[in-house]
Amino acid sequence: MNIDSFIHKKQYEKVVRIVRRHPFTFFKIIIFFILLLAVPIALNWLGQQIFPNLMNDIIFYPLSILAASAYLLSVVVFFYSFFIDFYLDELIITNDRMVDMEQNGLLARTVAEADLYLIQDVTSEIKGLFGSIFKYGKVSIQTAGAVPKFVIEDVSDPHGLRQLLLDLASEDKKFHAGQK
Amino acid sequence: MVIIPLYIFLFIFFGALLILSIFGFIGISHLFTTANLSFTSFIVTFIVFALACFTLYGTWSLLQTTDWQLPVKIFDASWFGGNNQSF
Repeated sequence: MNIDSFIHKKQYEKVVRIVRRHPFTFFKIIIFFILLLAVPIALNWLGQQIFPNLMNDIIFYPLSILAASAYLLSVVVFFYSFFIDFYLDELIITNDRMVDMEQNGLLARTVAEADLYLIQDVTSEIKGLFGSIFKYGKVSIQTAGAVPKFVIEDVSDPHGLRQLLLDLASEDKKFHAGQK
Repeated sequence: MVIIPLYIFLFIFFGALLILSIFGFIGISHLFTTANLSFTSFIVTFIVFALACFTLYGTWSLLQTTDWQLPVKIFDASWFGGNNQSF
């Protein structure tokens, strides 16, 4: 499947931008999972210090290997789930509308869309030390549609995105005014 | 006293592996159904798959010499109430 068929793109429509969270916000998750991966190594080291002969036990040894393996595989799979959650939170902006997709865990997803001419107000916000350094923040879009407010967190260059949305909304309003 | 063979734990491990594989495949299917196949998603999927293969290979190589028929005592009343046979 490609993006055109996913959003059921109309003939006159063209995708202007796909906005995702800033990669730095995923960096924290990577650090956290590296620490989680190190837990069995730390426990093994601790075990060797306290009970030096524990790993020589013919029952304990295979059980500990199986437990460590199951733990590491769980960490890897949960890391992948977090990546999917991160990567599938996206805003697809076309010259006619915006499609906001929000993945919540592995088993829940919300997709909302609004025509650009319905945009009433766009607010961008950069907050915090890392947000200021890496230029990411929040964009809130107020619309007159069925979904009154879209909030996109941790996007790159929120002020630029706000300007882009306002420009596209202005163009779309002109187009719809001309049609009437 | 409850004694089970060691291979029961191996079956439990395979059960956990099956559940984790299902989660992994759900993740990959999301990438396909939402048209998010890109270089980034490919690289992350590849790293995750490589880490899983490396873990499984390590597990297999460390457990090659294990005798899976060994009995494992998982419960013994004497652990809680002392040795009952002495009464």
